[in-house]
Amino acid sequence: MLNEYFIRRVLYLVPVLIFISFMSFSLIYIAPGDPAEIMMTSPSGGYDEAAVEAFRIAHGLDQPFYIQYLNWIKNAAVGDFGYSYMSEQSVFETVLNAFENTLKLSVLALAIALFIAIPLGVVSALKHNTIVDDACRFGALLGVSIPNFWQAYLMIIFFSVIVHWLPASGFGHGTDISYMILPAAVLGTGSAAVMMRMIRSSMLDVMRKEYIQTARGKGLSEKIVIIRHALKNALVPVITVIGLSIGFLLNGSVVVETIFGWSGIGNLVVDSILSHDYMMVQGSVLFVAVIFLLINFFVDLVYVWANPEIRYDKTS
Amino acid sequence: MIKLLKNRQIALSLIILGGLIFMAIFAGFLAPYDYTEKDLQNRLQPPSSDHFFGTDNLGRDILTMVMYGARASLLVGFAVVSISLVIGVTLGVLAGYYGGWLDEIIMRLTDSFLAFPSMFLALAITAFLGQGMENMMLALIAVEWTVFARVARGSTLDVKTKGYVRASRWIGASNAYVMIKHVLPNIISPVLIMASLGIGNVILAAAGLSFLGLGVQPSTPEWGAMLNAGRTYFTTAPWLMLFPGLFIMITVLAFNYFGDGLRDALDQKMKNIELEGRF
Repeated sequence: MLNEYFIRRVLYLVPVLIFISFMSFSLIYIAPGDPAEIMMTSPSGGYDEAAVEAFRIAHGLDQPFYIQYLNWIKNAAVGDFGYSYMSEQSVFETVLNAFENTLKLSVLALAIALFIAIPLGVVSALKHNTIVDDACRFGALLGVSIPNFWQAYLMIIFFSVIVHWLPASGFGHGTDISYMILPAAVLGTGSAAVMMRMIRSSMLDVMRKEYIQTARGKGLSEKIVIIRHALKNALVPVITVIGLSIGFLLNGSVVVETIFGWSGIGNLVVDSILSHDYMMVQGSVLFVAVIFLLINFFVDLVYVWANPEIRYDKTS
Repeated sequence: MIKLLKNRQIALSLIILGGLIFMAIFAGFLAPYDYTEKDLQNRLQPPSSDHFFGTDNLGRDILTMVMYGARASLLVGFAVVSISLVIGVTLGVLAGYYGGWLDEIIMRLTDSFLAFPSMFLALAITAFLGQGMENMMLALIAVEWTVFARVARGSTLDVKTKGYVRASRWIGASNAYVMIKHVLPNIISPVLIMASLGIGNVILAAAGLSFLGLGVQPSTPEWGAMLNAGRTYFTTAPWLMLFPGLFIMITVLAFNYFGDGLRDALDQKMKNIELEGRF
């Protein structure tokens, strides 16, 4: 049964992968401007026809669309995303490097999010329909409604400008944790809002279950009932939220990394767009999409594995 | 309908939304200044009785800009969500109703769009189409329609099994008739809930793109673009960023609060649909 589900899910990946690669590739085609002309244009504005033609041939840009696509896919499959037209650096290496930095930030953000979301979600569920619950729910709505770029500046003003606790922005060689705290906190609070609501509703479901009554009936203390029995079971659906949060964190990284000058994938995409480095944009977008797709795939599998009775059709 | 208005959460959010829409429509009457009016003598003035929200780096009145900015944000929100809704619901209902290979194709297409984290998809599209409001809206539609397709398909599958739908088909009603007369009215509440949450999301994303300089250009009054312009002065003149951001938050919160209240009131089954925070 699980095998059958697994095979079906793997088969679903194939058309999606083809589609996203095709879309990423076509973007260069729709893009305004001919890369060869842009590259070969001298700072004074003129360009040499012969040089443009030579550039086209060198980069395979004179081939028909489908040949270019097939060549590109063949290279992309082995991790060769081509070279940046601007810096001449390998797109794949640059993207991988940036992604590693985003990952560092995301792990810290996820930890912050869970640290906020689990206690609040549990308290909210236990105090169901009281003012505490209302406050938590409203807080969560506020958390998803606050623009992260605005929140980022508010936090910079407070923590860097007023109390001078943390650096306002920068990278700190990628290892200095003080540079990570503010961006991770901005990303983490948004995710926490989504997670908190999920934990709350899942906790509410579990608390109604018979085994909770049984556990109480056995005379176990409320603390043990909640932690050992309820929370443990309530956290299973939270696995999917972590998958969802990865999307949230990746999306947030675009703005947050740009503001804090963190050299991650979001920052890379924005910089590349602003400098018209289309190869880099294409490579990063494809890379992020594939990673995101695989993460969701594994999250699904883990969820199904943790819940043997669920063999749900993901699309319904 | 009246029952809905008695719900405190729904009533409160409708009042706030009504106020914002009123402000956007009548910005021309309400705004104390002309938004194109630059007064370089009075640039970067802190909030005062002349300028409640202060003035920006070109000496424009921020309150006026915020009022006109509501137009851009609400327009983008409503337009993107309406178009996405029409595309998504049409495809979702067709997929759910007919099933089979049509369903497979539509759902794999939806999965493909969902494979991109939404902000990256929107960025990629705006990057390649070029910057500007229309292109930004296209990019956001590309992200948003999938939500409606999935909700519509799921609800259609549910409705399809109901007795009245089967009876109607049995007495010879055409497929189109069944879909329009029976399926659509019965899937409307989840779709409306998603639309309300969707508008909030779209406004947030649009502000984010404009903030990055990839959406609405700074010459037009728009909240995200105002925040972008205010970045340079955020330590010396924080009011440049404070007020547009506050209004984005209030607007998005009102839409989310409304959608959330609507979900609690309308649809018990929907209680598991969570705010996805797609952006």
